[in-house]
Amino acid sequence: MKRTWLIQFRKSKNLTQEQVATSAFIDRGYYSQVETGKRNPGLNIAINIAKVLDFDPLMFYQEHLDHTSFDKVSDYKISEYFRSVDSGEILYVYNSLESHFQHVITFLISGFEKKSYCLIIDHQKNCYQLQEVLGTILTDSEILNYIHFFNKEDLKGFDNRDVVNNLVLQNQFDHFNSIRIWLSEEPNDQNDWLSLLEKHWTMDIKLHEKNILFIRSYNASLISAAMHIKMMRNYPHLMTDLEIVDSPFYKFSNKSFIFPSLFIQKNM
Amino acid sequence: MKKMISLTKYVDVPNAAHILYFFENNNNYIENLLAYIKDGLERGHHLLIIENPTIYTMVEPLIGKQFSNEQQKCIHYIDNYSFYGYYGDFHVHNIVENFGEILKPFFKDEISIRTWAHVEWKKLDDISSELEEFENLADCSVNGMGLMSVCAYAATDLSASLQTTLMRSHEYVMTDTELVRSSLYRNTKGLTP
Repeated sequence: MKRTWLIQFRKSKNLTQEQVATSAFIDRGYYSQVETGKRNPGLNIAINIAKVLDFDPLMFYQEHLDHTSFDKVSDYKISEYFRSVDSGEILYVYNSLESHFQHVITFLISGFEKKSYCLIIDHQKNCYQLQEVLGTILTDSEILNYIHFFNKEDLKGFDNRDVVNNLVLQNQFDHFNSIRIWLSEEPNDQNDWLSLLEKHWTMDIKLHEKNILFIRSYNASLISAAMHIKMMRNYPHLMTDLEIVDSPFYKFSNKSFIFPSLFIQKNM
Repeated sequence: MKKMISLTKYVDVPNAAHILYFFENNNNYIENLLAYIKDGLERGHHLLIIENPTIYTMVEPLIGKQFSNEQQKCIHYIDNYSFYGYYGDFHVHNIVENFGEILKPFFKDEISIRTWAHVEWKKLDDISSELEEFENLADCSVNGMGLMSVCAYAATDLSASLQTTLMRSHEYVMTDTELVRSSLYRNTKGLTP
């Protein structure tokens, strides 16, 4: 499909196809095919074109997913966030599966740009879909070297502790300064994946020096408000399909004030 | 600069404050309701309590015990089942219009009033879009009328999806034990890394 948005970006800068192509180190014919939608640029070319025309290179990949209702302005904020931070813990409750999928892609691509190692723990079919889209953006060896998918179905029946000890920690993280982990739809308790991983890594001095960005995502219609509040107390950042904000209930925040409720204040 | 008033002796809020309360424990809920009534009465405000008959039957004797007859005259009760059309449809515009009509005489007589509304609906119905519209309209009304208002929801009956939506239309969020500012309110407070 023709990329009219790309043509508009170029025209708004008063540039010809030739000028953009030269600045992006590609030939005009190739660039023209990118505009007409006949070719999908690889990541490096996408970045170069985006630099010349001053937009977010992830715009090339959002269009793959055909999200008519997706809010690109807000997504830009989230992609900016993923590209700016190396560490943190984020609780994501999503309303739209498409947005969730889009954000995982953004998380992985921005992780790759930052040379972070990424772990995705999700159902097999979701992993396949992610790999399919990533295959249009990254090479096989880039995916192999930077992204590891864990199929949750394969791990059923194993104790979370054993899985973390025997599988996840056997991965080679030594060459990476930062690690990103996205965990979908897992029960939240002291013995869940993320809690166990965090315990391991905070105990291990060598790994502790690494930056770790955790995201735990849930379908917002499948968890109760009560559970959501409980989790918000443990996560510094809260993400929705549209934005990332400070979690208002995060116990250890120095940014927000948590007052006692009315009757507790009365009894003080 | 916005005029600030005291919600409690520790917390000042703008004159129009829309507070979203997710409760889990009935005893704490009743304690918070009584504290809200007490704070209002101490500041010479009237209270409009939109509550279900079961809970209000438990609250009534406590009101009788804690407040003088004169003070009790300032507490006005409305059955929330009929207010929200519990047995029928959740008609957003009717509810908001009705709310305005109920408050009109107080405004006419320049009486300050605070409201507490326990929002309930038929459990089988998915009314998320109606609730979103209702709370957006209610937020405008609350701000427009300079009201202090609490909207209470049972946290175990509500999805996180609806909760997130509601946090966009309420500046303050309360639980049984905490009171915070909603970081999703009006979606204006995005985090900058």
